[in-house]
Amino acid sequence: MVEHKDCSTTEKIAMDGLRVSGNLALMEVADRSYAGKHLSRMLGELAKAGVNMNLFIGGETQEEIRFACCVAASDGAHIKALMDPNPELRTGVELSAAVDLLALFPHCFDLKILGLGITALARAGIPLHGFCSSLSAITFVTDHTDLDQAIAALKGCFELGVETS
Amino acid sequence: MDDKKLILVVDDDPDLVEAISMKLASENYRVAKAYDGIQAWDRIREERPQLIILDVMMPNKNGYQVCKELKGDPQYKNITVVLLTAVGEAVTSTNYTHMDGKTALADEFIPKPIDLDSLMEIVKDYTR
Repeated sequence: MVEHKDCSTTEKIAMDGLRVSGNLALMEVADRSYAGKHLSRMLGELAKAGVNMNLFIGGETQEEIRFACCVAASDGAHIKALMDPNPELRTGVELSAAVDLLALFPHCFDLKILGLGITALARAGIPLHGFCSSLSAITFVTDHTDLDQAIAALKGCFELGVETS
Repeated sequence: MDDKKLILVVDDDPDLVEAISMKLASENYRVAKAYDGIQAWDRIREERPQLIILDVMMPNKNGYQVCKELKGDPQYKNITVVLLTAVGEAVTSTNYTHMDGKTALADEFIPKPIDLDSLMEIVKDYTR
């Protein structure tokens, strides 16, 4: 059992819940050769293969397209099989270890929740691979090895109704 | 007494629950929310919805189990169940099949990713 002190002196914020999506593989791409069409092709191939993405974070600069996505660990093999015969798809792709998604909901468009969440994880010394907001949730991407500590850190700041995984 | 029809939305994806809830609210329905099968049963007992939009793949108790229990309970069997299905033919990371859905006795099935307009048509049909 991991215990964690509150991240602030204020009262905990009540949330409907925390959704943990575990056993995921993280695919990170930062490559200048992805001029749009390779990325589109890759996403199309993943869709055709029925690979579900739990999270997709993307961004583009003048030099490169960067994105990260999380898929079921069991789909890591599908992705490797897609990339192996296609060197242009493989370039710059890093398929890495087990991560979890911790989604607090609902955020009710309150930036304080994002700030408290990041602060709680930082104070617990938990590295973040990324975070994002969606219609209802604020999601943090953390290493699977940090799962218990990350949940404990968030529980230090938030009163969670349901905890699903 | 509020005469708006009550719809229970059950899915472990909070974004999908929110999206469906917003659409239902815009169509003048009341909405209750649950994020797993056990919480769904709590809401069913507390609020007795007229229709349930129920995801299949959920933690604690999946949608097929909830539907089977509901349809086997004389007190609740008349509640309409619309199952949201993402079965093995479409998504690699599930082992559920269409047969599971048939044995669960749901009233309707909607494949994921869902088309909100189609879902609303079904909801309207069953709540007239």
